[in-house]
Order: sequence, then C-alpha cells, then structure tokens
Amino acid sequence: MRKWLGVAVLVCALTGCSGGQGEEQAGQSQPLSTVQSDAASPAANGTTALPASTPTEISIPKIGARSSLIPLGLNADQTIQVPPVDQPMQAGWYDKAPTPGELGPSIILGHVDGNKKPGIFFRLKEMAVGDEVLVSRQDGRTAQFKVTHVEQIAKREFPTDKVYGDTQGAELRLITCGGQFDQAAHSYKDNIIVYAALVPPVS
Amino acid sequence: MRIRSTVAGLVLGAGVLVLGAPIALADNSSQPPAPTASPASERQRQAPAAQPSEPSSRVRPTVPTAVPPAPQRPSIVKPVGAPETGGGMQDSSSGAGALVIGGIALVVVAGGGSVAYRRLRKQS
Repeated sequence: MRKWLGVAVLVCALTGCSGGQGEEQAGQSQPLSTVQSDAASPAANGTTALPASTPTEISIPKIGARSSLIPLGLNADQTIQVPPVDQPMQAGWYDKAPTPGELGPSIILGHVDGNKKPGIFFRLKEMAVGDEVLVSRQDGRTAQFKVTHVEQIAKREFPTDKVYGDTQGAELRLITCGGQFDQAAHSYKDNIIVYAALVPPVS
Repeated sequence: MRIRSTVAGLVLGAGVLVLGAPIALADNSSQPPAPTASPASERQRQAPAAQPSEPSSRVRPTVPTAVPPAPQRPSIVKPVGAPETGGGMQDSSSGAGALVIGGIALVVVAGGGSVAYRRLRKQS
C-alpha cells in the first residue's frame, strides 16, 4: 500500500513539473510584444507644421531686414496687394494663403525700393541657400525658415504655380522686385523670389 | 487483504494513467518549441498562433500614421500676375524728362522767334 502511495506521490510531483512548462510558454509570448513595439516605433517622419496664427514680424538677420507685417489681400483685378509704396520699409503677408509655419506656402511681400529710398527687401537678392528667416507669430511662437532656393525671373514669366502651389511641408516665399527698372512702365522687369522651408521646432 | 490491495492498485494505476495522459500530451506540445528556441523561428511560429490578437496590435501603429494628415491643408487663392513691389529709386526721372523736352521746345520757339524777328526787321 505504501508503495502505491509512493508511486502516486511521484506521479503528482511529475504533474506539478508540467505546470512550470506552461509558465514558460506564457513567457515566450513576450518577444511578440517587443515585435509589436518595434512595429509601433516608426518615427513620425511626416511633415511638421505649426497651427495657423497671424504673423506679426519678419526678421532676416543676413540682410538686416526687420519689419512688422500687415495683411495683404487681392486687388479688384485679382493681382496681389502690396504694402504702400510710400512706406518701403513695411512688409506684408498675403492673408489668402497659409500663415507662416502652417502647411503650405506662405507669402511675404516687401518693396525693393519706394519713395526714392531703399525698401525692406532692397538686399533680398543677396540671400542664399541656408540663410535664416524668422517670422514671429501672434501665438508667441517664432517660425524659423531656411532658404532653399533663390531666383530672379521676368515678371512676364512669373511662376504662379511654383510660388502659390501646394507644398508638402510648411514653406515661405519672400517676393520683391528686381532687375532693370522700366521707366515707361514705372515697374521693374523682374521679380526676386526666395523659397524657404520651415525648420522643425525643437520642442 | 490481497484483494483490497489489488483493487487499490488498480485504482491508483487508473489514476496514474488519467494524470499521466495530460502530462504526456503537454510534453509533446511543448517539445517542438523547445528545440526551435531561437528567437527568429520563435516569432515566426508564434505569430500565426497569435494572429487573432495581432491584427489589432498591428493596426494600432497605422492609426497614428493616418492621423498626421489631420492638420488640414489651408486653401490658397492664387493671385494673377506678378507683384509690383518696387517704386523705383529714380522716381523723378519722368519729371526730368518732361523738363528736358520743355526746355528744347522753349529753345526752338525762342530761336524761331528770333529768326522771324530779324527777318521782319530787315524787311522794314
């Protein structure tokens, strides 16, 4: 009888060992969770942009330009409004486009000259790739842009789609006049266009 | 006594068989994963077994990637033509041109007048 009981105890002990194997299987499911976390880890490498906020000031350290910004709309003939020519140091932003930092192309205009004086963008043609443009906004943030491209182009060939067309990220266009001044037309023959892209905020 | 012990032995034997069967099954089912304990094969084999729960966990990462488009792209009204952002540094040039033209006209008129006056004087 004792022998049988011993055998039974031995069998029960063996059964208890099999329970430990079950725990190991549960532990083996852990790698799955790490795989899941790996799958969830892809960085948000999408486009970075700021929410809409009215721009208040532009600063371009390289050319020493600094101005408050006034809103600009469209004239009756659907051309873009410009700051008053008798205030050549005043820059403005096009309010029918994204605000600076927002997804899409934001537009800031300034005179090269006016009232026989140099304007806010008199030295805009000196800008080069990598130069910095800062735009302060009403929400307290400052949108930092880096110049990606500068071009001088005849007004007759103004690249409307390139300037105002959709962009993948938050971008900025600085526009002024350039080239020769046509005395008869009282207008410059070219435009200087600076293309810049938003530098992702650190925070 | 012997009969009792025999019956008890049979009962215990049956118990051992009943208890031993799951052990044998458990050993069989747990043995295959044991030799393939390398991490790579483990994931491959366990992934199908966990499929019912995996789809939900695999879908989750795609949800955040689908969220970024949420920042709505602001619309833009494209203006017509090129901006006129220059008044010209020589704004008075047109006035100077008019003065030059006026001056030339004045000289021509004055010259013609003086010629006419001399002719009239000679005739008289």
